[in-house]
Amino acid sequence: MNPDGEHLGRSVAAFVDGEVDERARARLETHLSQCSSCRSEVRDATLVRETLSSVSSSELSGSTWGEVRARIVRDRQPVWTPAMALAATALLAAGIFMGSQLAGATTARDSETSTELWLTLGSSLQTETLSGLYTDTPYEDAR
Amino acid sequence: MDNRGDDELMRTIASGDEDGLRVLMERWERPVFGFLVRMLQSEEDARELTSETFYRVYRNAPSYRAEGKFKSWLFRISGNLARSALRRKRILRWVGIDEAPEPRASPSTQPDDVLEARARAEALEVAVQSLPARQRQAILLRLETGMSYREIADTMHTSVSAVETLLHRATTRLKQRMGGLT
Repeated sequence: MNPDGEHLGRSVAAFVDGEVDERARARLETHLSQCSSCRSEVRDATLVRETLSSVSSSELSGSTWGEVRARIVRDRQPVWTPAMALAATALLAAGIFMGSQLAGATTARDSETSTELWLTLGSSLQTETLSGLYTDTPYEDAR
Repeated sequence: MDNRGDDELMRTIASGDEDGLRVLMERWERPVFGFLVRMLQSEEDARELTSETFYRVYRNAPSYRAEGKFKSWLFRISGNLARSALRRKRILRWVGIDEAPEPRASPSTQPDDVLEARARAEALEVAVQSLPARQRQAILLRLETGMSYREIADTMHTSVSAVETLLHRATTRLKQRMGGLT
């Protein structure tokens, strides 16, 4: 803070804004009573503050709560990241590849063999699944 | 009216309570919007950044430290957003994509002294736009939110002495502009 006898300098704004402590204020007021140049500075700074304060604030038409909440809700939903999309594409491609391989193997055999193969596979799967589900059922004994 | 303090509401938001955010917005949305309008001179941009400010409040609630300085924290978010927007606008203006903001129009059916005062206020408001962003932020935090120098310093991550300097420089510039108006 400025010592006695010196101009207010950069303390003008703080003085106008009431941001100086009591002791400093008393000292600055003593100086102001003797210095017309600093009084002029303070008067202009006060006018700037008052003029800017007179500008009425713009009113917000309607809250933005709806917009904020929509974003929060959107965030909670699962998002397809590029990595996830890539993984899904790779899985799909692998499925198509395996499917085509299986189809190729099937056409190589005659239709009777193919039917037998599918029946055996289906029967085996059914037995395994059911025995897995009902381990203490008569299906175990029936095998 | 909800009597819970800002820090308490932030704790509820951190635990996922959206209603706490709604209450905070009822309390702070208008001051944030008012500050942003004067920073950006655009109600449309200010509305967008008001929404963004509170979205960030929600997202950052878990890392918020309840030290009774919510106001400073909130206006730090909106101030940073405003300064980024100003930087972006300035770059766009340099490359000739955007236009400088138009001063807000005033009705002309007023007595001369009222018109003069209004013209002076509008000219000063335009002068505020020519201030460096940090000076502008400091003076608008003071004018729009009534923050103390200590709060402005917390908001802008700087010292009280630096705030004093920012406000002194801003006032000096504006006084010079005012000199041509009185």
